Amino acid sequence: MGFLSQLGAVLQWDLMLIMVGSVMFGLVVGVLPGLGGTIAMVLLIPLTFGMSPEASIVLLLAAYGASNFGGSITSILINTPGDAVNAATTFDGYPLAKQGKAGMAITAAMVCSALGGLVGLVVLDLMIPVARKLILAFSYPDFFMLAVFGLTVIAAVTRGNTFRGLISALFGVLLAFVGTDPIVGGERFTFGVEYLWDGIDLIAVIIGLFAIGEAYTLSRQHQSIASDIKVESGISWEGVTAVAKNYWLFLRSCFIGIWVGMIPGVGGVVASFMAYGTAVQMSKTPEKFGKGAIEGVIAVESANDAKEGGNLLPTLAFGIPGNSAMAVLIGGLMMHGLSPGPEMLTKNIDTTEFLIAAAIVGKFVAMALGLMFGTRLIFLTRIRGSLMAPGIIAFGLVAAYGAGGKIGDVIVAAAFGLISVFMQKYGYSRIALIIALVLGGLLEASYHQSMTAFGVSGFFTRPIALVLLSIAVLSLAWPLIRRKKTRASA
Amino acid sequence: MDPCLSRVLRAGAALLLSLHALAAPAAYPEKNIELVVGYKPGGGYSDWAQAIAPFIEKHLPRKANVLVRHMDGAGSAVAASYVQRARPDGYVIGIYNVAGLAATQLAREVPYDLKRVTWLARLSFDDSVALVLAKGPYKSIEDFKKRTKPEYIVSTRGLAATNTITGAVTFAKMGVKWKPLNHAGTGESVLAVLRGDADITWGSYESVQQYVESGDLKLVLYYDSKRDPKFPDVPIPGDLGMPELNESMNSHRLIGAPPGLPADVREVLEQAIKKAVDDPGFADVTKKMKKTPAYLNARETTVLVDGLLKSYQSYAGVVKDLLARDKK
Repeated sequence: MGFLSQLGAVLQWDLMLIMVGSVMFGLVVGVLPGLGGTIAMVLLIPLTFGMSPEASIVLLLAAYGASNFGGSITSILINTPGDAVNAATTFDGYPLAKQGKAGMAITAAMVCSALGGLVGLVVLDLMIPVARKLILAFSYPDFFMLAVFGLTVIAAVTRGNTFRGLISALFGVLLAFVGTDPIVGGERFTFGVEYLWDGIDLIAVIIGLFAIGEAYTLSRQHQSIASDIKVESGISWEGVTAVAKNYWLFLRSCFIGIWVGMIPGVGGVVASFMAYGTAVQMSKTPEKFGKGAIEGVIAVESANDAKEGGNLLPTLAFGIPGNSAMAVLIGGLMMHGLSPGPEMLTKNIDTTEFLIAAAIVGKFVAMALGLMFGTRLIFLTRIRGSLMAPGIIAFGLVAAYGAGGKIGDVIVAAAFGLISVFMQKYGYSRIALIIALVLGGLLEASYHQSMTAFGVSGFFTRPIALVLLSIAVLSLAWPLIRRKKTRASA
Repeated sequence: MDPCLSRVLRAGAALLLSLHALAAPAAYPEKNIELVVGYKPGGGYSDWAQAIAPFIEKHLPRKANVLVRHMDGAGSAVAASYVQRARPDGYVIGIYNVAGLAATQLAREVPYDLKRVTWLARLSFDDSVALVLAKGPYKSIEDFKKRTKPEYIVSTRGLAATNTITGAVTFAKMGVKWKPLNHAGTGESVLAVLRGDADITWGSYESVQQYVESGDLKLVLYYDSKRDPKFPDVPIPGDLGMPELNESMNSHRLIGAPPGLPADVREVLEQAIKKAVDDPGFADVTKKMKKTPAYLNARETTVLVDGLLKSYQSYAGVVKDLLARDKK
């Protein structure tokens, strides 16, 4: 808990002033279509040139940490994630908004983000002594089994409609294979289109399937998003108590976030989807998910922010960025003569502790500001659907463009908006498609990497891979076991 | 219309147009300039672009912002194509990874052509290196000739990546059999060596410097015309009988503009970049980033690119072999 000694250094009036400004900036960037934490830091780096290393750390980390908060607000209110990491928040956040419970969802999201961030960073602090060993312990077969386990979630989210769920998932896997193949990096299924070299963009698909698809439904109804239900604005205590009631779910999601976050290349998007999936599978009422279960929001948001602690681990231990945002942070720190790597755990341990302390304080400032401003935006759910729809479509298309600056993403988003309409009409699962799209690439890449580095035996001889495989099998068999049990007791 | 009047009008219009054309260079730049980076934020090219942009801005004759735009995709081919297609008016310029793009140009059909780019400057160059685990079983690159394994595992980042080709050409000349363990990013490919899942990896020195300094990885080959004074024990390809590989595999960070950039605009940009590189403030920033500029002017850069493209042509066979693995 070395960061406690650095809290005093963070709580200086000048640094706190930078922090509040930076958090506001991060929140706005998070709310803006298509922009996330990485862009927030890129925009701020030039400002750090004239600052002390401490002030730069505060400026960059506070903005990065706050952007997640902003992204979850738009996910809940208008079904449009600001960044791919917020995508899973839409699954239950938006249905909650439709039920007039946006205040509860936003409050729960803000509280989970702040507390999740705290748990992630405290665990990071505790893991520092074993950081290097821990990161080297995971290899390709483990990633592969992680993806397999993630895919079993599809069975849970499509319960009662298994075949259509499977078709949706296979469509997702098919999409995941477009682009650069993971074996040697050659292009495939690109049909000579340069845009497809990097595959189909996840965020564009999500915006199409959820935001634009939803806008179509909205445009045909004369009601507002929250229909004619009485909507309460402001901070909702229901949201806070929901988190308290689900403390076990919260903690479990935090640990999933931390664990997935510390594996470079697996990425934060996987963390939030894994947390969501586990929440569905371990729930006593899985049928509620996707229709407005507050547990869905709690799981995703706590994993999302806890993963930052995990992300920082390889960054600090080896100087290896856990994701693109960490790569930007490393660049920013190096401009101040700090070189992330083993020295951050020995010689520069004070800086590391300061960094952790700054990130923690940043999370709570972001929570306060997020609650203050985010809950004021709930009026959006009271505007008539036919008026909101064009706005959401415009916002969604700008988001698709903003994320990568490619017109191809806008076309993909529009196309998936259309696909979404038909998927909803005929009962195909959009969540299954997205999960398969997120995990398909990881599944294939880690399969080939495992085969190259270990051969077939790698899948069955590594303890971590075996544990994950058992969990995957168990999660598939669990509904059967439970049914038998209930029958036996009856 | 009276033919005479029409002629006068046309002449007048032509005069106006030419006056406008003459006046244009003095007015350049009138608006913001876009500096396109072909990678995501956080890499070497992005760092260089962000470091130099404010200094180019400072030394432009008129006030205009130089905005760094990240346009990642297809190993920077998307950005190269974008700059190639942009209007040659000096408002879109790009930072190029010429070795990587040259390899892609050999391997695939691409919409850009490095021969036609208007080159403005070289900012830096970066030596290629081969690395193994510091505390691993390999002491030198010669150890790979011992064939302790039927195939060595090389941690790679894409088939047509410069580093993969550097490794492929080197191992082809040494007669070492290998297979790629492919990754999406530098971090992951370094981690593969750290874990011991891969035997060796190739990279540019700047991108792996931190792992060497931390003592996690060790250099076994340094691509340069002479041994680096910091690593007197690390051989160069010439020491191993491959002098042709000494310098042809290094990556260069170049700034270029669309083909057909007017000479006066080119002059303005070239001067601004040169002054930016010479600016003590920029030197300060690069020092903090532990990077060293290696400036070349527009003419020298053009000569350099011609030479590099020729030497890459001679490796076309290796690239084709790599692609053939894909088909297997």
